Amino acid sequence: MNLEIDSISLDYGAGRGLDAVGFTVAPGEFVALVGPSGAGKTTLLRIIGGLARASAGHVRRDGVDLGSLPARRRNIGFVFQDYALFPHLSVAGNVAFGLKVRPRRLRPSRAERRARVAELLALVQVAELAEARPATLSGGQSQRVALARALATDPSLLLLDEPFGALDPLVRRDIRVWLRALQQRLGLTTVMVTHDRQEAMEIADRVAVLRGGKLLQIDTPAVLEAAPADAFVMRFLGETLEFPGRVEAGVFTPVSSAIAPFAAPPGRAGEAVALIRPWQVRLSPAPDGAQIDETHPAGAFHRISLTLPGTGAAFEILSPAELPTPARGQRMRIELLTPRLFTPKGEPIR
Amino acid sequence: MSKENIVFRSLPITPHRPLLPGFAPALGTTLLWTGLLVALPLSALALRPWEHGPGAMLHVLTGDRVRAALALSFGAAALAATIALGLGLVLAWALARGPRSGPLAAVRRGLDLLIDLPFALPTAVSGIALATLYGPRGWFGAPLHELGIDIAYTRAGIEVALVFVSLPFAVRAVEPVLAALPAAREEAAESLGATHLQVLARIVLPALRPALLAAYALAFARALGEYGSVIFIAGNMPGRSEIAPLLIVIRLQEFDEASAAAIGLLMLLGAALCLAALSAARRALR
Repeated sequence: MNLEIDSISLDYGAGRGLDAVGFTVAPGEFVALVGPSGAGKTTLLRIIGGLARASAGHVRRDGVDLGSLPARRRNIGFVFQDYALFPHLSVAGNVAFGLKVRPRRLRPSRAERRARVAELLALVQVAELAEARPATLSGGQSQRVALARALATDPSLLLLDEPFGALDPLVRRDIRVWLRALQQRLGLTTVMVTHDRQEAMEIADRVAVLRGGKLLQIDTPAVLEAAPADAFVMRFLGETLEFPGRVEAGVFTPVSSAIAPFAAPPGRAGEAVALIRPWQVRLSPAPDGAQIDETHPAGAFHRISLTLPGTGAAFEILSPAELPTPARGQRMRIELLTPRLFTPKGEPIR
Repeated sequence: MSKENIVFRSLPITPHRPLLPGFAPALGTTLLWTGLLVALPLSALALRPWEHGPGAMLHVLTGDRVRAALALSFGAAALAATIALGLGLVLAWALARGPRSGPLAAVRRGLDLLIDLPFALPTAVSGIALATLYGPRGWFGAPLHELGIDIAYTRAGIEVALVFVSLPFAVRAVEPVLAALPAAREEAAESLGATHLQVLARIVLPALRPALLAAYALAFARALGEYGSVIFIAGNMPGRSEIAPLLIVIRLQEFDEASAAAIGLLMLLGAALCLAALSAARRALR
């Protein structure tokens, strides 16, 4: 199923809403919408699901405009942030709901419904909970039940609003991996909203970064990392170190002499800032280098705190654990392995 | 460190340590006031009718006029509470889901104020107003009379008065619960293909069941005890449109206090039974 979001706008007033957001989702693709709160992610998801109306633009499914089609006619599976299970129905009753409310001639028989519910509960691995009440379920179980309920009507599209938001971090990771595997097995086109950038980068085929109702970039995680559309995208998607400097004659010269200069795209000159992830640096001893303040082991890395000479700016880098750890007080020059250059306004220099 | 060196020490627990500060005086005050304000008068009511013996009591209660009055009171209250519940649900819906901005928001706020007025109005005033409106020459009464429908001075008049006084109870019992229902549940139902009617019947009303029962109980209790507004519009024909509270007042005016208390006791027992049944139903829903 091909989903096309065509310059969707929504005017909420007060700078909230959406501003001509457009992208397409390929059949079977998993797209994550990320952005700070107020970016319009959930609003966009609700518009796709038919729960909110856009003031301009179109949502098309396989080329057909969904237009003013009400949510109940869209056949879209929606998993809500806090699951929104029906508390007065059993788990089986929740999952069967979408089948039960069908018009009589389309409604599966009681036996068919029961078989479908059993199949779905087995699929989401909570078969034993069929008779349980939603109030007795854990967060992870509720999440699986909500997913089973959304899948019951064979939706052509799955929409997930912060599906892992209410889970504790340990369960969160497991269920994320499981959900991704299930989505690929079913080949279900999926759009997910999350505020967790790491989650988005790990689960999605492509990630759309929104800010203030505008789509800044939609790309695969690898492209987003390698070529962020602007400094905001880079900063939003992970821990970032920033080193100001100047681009001149194809070379970026950092303000601090403790940072090694590197080649910049030719034909650009002026103020610039180099952005880099804390693990994309290498240290080498140098008398005028940055001073090592502290080192801590951090999994596969050492977390090293440094202070730049001159400005006194302090920051932390991650150095692979297998490399020798510099001693406290030692001075090190910093080489930026894969820096990305931006103008002071945040536009990329490529 | 050896195992012996680890000492587990629990915090000292004083026996009979109260959970709430000032629990004893709070309980004492509560019991005293409930006793003085509720239990004492009710016990007096329960004892008074027996002073001429059970025979006299039975004689009072088997009288046709008393039976008719009690049947009317309980029947009319049950019907009024049912009507108030239906109207109350619609009104509560308008209040809880009505527009919060725009020109219609003012209408919603106005409605919000109006709902509570029957709480504050002296019931005699409501009774006279309703009797005037629905009387044979009233604004509603006259055209209805043309159609052959009489409201004032009939049982229908009693229902109008009872619904008027019990409606706010029904609305106020349902509205906060309705307003607190998470919208996502209804949206989930809609995205699963449910029509508006199905969302209402399968998602909203089941969630409201305890509140609806509470609303019914409150409205019923209010309607059962209502006196002031009913006597002005009911016509008060003995055996036809005479409610039990009125009969009690009549007996008191005849200085037949034992009979008055006997009818009162029966109303009390009936009301207690109805409310207990409703409360049991509400617990069963939890």
